[in-house]
Amino acid sequence: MSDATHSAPQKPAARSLHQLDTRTKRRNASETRFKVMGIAAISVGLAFLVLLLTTIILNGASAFQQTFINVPVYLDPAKIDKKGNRDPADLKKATTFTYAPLIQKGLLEVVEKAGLETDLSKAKELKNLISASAAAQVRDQVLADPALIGQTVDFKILASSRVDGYLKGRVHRDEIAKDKNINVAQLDLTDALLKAGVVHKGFNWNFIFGSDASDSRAEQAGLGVSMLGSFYMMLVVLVLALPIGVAASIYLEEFAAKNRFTDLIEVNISNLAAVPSIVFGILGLAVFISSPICRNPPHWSVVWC
Amino acid sequence: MPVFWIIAIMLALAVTGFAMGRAKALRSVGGDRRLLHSLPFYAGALIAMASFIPALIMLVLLLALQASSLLLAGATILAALVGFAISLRLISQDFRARNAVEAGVRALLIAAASVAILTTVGIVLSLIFNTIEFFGLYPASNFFLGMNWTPSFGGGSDLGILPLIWGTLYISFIALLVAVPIGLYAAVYLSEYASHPVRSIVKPLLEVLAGIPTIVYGLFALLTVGPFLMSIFGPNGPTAAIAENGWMHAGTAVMTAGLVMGIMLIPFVSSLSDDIINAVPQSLRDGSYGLGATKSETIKQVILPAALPGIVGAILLAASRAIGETMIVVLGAGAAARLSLNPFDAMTTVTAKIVSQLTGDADFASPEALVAFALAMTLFVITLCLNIFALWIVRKYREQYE
Repeated sequence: MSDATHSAPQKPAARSLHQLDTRTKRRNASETRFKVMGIAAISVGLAFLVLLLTTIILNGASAFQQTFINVPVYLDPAKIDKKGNRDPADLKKATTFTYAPLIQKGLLEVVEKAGLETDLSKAKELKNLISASAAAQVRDQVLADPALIGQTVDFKILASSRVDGYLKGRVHRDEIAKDKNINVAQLDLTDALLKAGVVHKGFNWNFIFGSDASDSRAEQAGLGVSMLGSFYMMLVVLVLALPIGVAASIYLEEFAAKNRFTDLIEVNISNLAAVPSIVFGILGLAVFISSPICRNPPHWSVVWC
Repeated sequence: MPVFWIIAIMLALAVTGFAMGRAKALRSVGGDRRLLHSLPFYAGALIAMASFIPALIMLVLLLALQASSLLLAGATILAALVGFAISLRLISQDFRARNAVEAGVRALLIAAASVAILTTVGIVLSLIFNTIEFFGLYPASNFFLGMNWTPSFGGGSDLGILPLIWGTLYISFIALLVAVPIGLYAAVYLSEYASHPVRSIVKPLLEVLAGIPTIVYGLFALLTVGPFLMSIFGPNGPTAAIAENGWMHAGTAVMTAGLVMGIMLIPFVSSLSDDIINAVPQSLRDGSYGLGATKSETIKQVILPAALPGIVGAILLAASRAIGETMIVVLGAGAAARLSLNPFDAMTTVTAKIVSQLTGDADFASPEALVAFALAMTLFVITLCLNIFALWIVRKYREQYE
């Protein structure tokens, strides 16, 4: 009777929400892709961080270890104190050139006593194993305590930077043919001395507390003095920037009216934060270095320039 | 008299003034502080400020003018004493010391805020005179339109800025090419997808990258990235088959500096964009979800368009950072000024040349040294325009939701 029986409504194709059509699939895939891109971006960022830190640590860690040589040095009175009166003023006349051969002789004796085989028979040929700073180290100790003269004193001196580099894998045997500062025989001796325990690596306190060094004695380099400079700079910047910065922000947040002047200050502050540091450097150059006070400093202004 | 002692005397006067002012205020009402207009503390503080601050200004002024040490000490201490005496005379029962101190503090705060303007003025002044002097020695058209940069300290050098600008823009472009996609995706993921614990760990970790000194990045470029790129694009790498000797001839190149600078800029882009994306109102997200959009569709079609001005601002700030970067370029990009399209060529930037022109042996009055000021002026103007543009965009965006 009714139309309903005649033309039963066509049943739509069974579509469950669990069954995804192509459009939904595409949208979900795009969703996943987007999320993966985010994770990838973060992973890349973190990977860069890890890479940066590991290369810094791997490249830098060996600086904390330095090669030392234990040498008993006979402080020959005939060389150091020619007048024999132990007068500090006279002792100062003996320069590091007086001390260097004594150390080389001491090292040669060590080599001979240990019975190490080497082609190097003269004390002078051992010079390249020893840091150029060793003579000054011995001299300072003698000047501080003249009673040491005439005794054989054990010194822990720095090895030269080539020896240090060789033991750390920085200097290679096949690359030193043209190097005047080291030769193969000396490297052989270094190996032997290492085995005998005369040459050894130790923690390099001088690296942390020392000052910088010239190219000829790179092994003595330290960053203590530069750190002091950095900390001092930090302090000065803090003392200047903190009060002014806090005061400026208090003014801008609590007092300032909304007007042109406030706008100008805000634009200036955010602009200064992005001005290249080199431009500030030029400001410093122009204001402080070429200012009258520094070009012609009055006697009390030493501190300022 | 050393400056130290002058300041010590000023401090002593200020402390004495504080005690005396307080005592005088109390004495004027016979010890009954209820009768005073302001608390006795304000009377003391006023005298301390009046004797210290004008004297300090006098001291700084005279130091800058290089007055003789006698005049310096005399005038400064006189200023302190005058301030001391006048303010002490003013103290009475009805004197509004509190209002005076408030006004003084306000003036100090305004002065602190104005330091920013003063610094900008100082930069402009210190640059402009030397720049004018430079253009007197070297024609401005040759400087701005010159295609050659060959300074020779003997004189007769070509000082065209175009190769330097080209190097600067090329390196910055590569840096942004690295930093913007990584930084943006990281920001979107951190603000929209990441759970709270993940976010609280990853965000500070990424920001570590911003805290590393640029000289360390420079070393990283020189010692790690340069040799690595050399091994791929250098004479021994696969590209040697395409071009003779490969594309890259030395470890220092635009690519080396650009890549490393990009790493440095990732946290700038990600942190700034993250803040901006977070500032998009939740109602916009809810509306989009309510219409059936997926999360990524919401981000792409609702959140990013809403945050776009802010993101553009962030990218511009990162760009001005890249343009002004010095140490990475000095160590990573080489020193040759060159107009070339090959990203594996060594090029140099404005900043690196400012350093080399000022640290050279040139006489300070020669165009070879003065060109550094003209370069710095150009750099300052470029970054200033970029920053003002970025700020303008960011502000415009802010007004939409507040």
